[in-house]
Amino acid sequence: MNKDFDEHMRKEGDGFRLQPREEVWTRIEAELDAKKERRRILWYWWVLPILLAGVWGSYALLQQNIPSTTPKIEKELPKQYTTHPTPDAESNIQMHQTDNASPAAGTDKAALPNSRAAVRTPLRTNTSNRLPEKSKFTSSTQAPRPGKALSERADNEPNEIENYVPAKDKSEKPFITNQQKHANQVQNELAEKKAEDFISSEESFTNTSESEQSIEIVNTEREQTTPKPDKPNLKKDVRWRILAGIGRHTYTPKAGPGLSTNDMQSSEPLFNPTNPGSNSASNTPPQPGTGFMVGIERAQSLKAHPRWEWQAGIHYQYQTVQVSTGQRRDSTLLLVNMGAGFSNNRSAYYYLPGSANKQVGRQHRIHLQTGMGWHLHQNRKWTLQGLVYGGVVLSADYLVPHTPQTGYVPVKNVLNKAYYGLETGIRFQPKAWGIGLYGQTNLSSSVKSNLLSNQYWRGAELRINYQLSPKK
Amino acid sequence: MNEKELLRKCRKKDRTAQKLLYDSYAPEMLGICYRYTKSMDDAEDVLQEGFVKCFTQLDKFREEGPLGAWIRSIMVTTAVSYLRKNSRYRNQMDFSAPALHPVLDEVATPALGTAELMECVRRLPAGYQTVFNLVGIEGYSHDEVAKLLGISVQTSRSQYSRARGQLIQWIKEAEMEMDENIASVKNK
Repeated sequence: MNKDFDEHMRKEGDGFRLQPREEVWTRIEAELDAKKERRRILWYWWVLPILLAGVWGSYALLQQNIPSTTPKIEKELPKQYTTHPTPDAESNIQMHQTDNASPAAGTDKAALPNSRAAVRTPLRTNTSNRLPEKSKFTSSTQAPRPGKALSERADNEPNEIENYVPAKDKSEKPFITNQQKHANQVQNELAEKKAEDFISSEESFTNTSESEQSIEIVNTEREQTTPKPDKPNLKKDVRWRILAGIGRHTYTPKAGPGLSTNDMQSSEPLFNPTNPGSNSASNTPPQPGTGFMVGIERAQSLKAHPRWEWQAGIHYQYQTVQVSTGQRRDSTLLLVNMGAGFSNNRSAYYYLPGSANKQVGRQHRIHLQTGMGWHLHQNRKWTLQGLVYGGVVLSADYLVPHTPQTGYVPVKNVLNKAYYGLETGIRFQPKAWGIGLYGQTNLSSSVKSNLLSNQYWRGAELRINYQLSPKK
Repeated sequence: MNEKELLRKCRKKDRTAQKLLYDSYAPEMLGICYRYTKSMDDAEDVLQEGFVKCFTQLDKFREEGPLGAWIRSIMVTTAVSYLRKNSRYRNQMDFSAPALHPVLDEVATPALGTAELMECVRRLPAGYQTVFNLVGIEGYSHDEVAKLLGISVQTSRSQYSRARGQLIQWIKEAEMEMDENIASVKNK
């Protein structure tokens, strides 16, 4: 008998029809057109980072004219070999070559020196001691110093290039060609850049004391007359830094489709540019939040490519531990970082459909992010920078029972989000300590269809940093 | 135009096809939305939101079942979300409130018309109304309702039972009133 009533109600309910007003369709049409327009605009957000990447790539390509490795330049040419070979010396070179090419018959090969360097090598094949092709010296300061011609050397005299020991007489100015001048200039620039900003996943800093020290070292080296460049001091290149910050952020959830029967609304007051979003409901007001951050970072120049720098850091922000690593070339940073987050009961809460009761919850989250940053130096102490980034967030949510009666409510959905954003900042770094102000704006969109909507996220953060090492 | 062709054109965002689809299903869907809400304006808002979701999510329809059932499920979840979001309804979605009335054992096959029956359903407090719509008319199980609304299965059962009992009482009162009116007309 119960079933009769239920069946009857079901039948009546299924057959219940009402005719909507015409304006309902008009409103639907308008909303569909608006969504189309928003999708078109959203598409531009993907184009912008690609365009920026293209601009950066073009700029990087244009900079390829400058050699990427430290050129091996003699600081000072050996005195004896600053002479333009005389015609006699040239003929002697040829003669010596001929001699060496075909040892005289009967010569004991064992008696010949084994080392190639012992074979008299014409000066012109030694690029580090390259002399101008023709004598075009116009001033006495550029005139080569006379030295021993090859013909003056005894056959058994050791090759002076091989056994050259640089003179340490500082009173004599070394002869420098235009090529060497350019190479020295490049080397100086590289030495300066070596001590420049250490851009982490969040910001960059300049160690003024380090850069000054580096320049001093370079200057000292220039005064010496060592033929070979010093080996890079890797220990000196390693930099450690600690950071702390406070930020204020808001996000505005937007209405979006949600077909899951387990649709949930979550409100998370704290946000992070690298850990952007959780699920959200439609039409809720902006959610503000304040968060703190602490972190430690390390940077080190690459041995083979001094213009590249490897960076790594660990940060704790908004109940999330993030590990990041990246590489920087000059003023540009290519960054990949990964973070794992865990939020406690206080920060994650939900409204389930049909319930006005706030449910506290836990949230586990893993995110992967990559980004490209650049900074524009204004001077040694001030830095202006920008960063574009994108990533994906994988998040699993579950609820802690609000009351014992409601019981445990597992959440089956795993949230997948793709996001991208932009960060800009300005930093003041007079000494080992520095302070910076950064702004972020982020747009994330859900990847899975049955999950939640787009949301706009933006915030500002104030950070201070202190360089721990290298010590002065 | 058959349904497959209509679907194909709707997926291509053909506005004419979308209008056709809307015209086919709007009356039934508005009836569903009206059962969950307290006013026609709210019902039309839910209808609008539901159809926008349908058109934007049409690619996700796998054609494993009837299109009408898929649209209906979207409407139901949209209606429930609407009730949750809307502050007018949110306060009434309290399932811990005391019982409306003692549960009646007697049941009846109502003699009232469809519209009157639906009005009785709409008279229920929002929480009871939702549970009754989901269980009594849509055919959701108590487990599904519990997950959807964030309540326990026990709560869903008790709410449905109370809502049903209240409906029966109102239907009986309405039928008695009808009988009295008929009797008074006859006596004249």
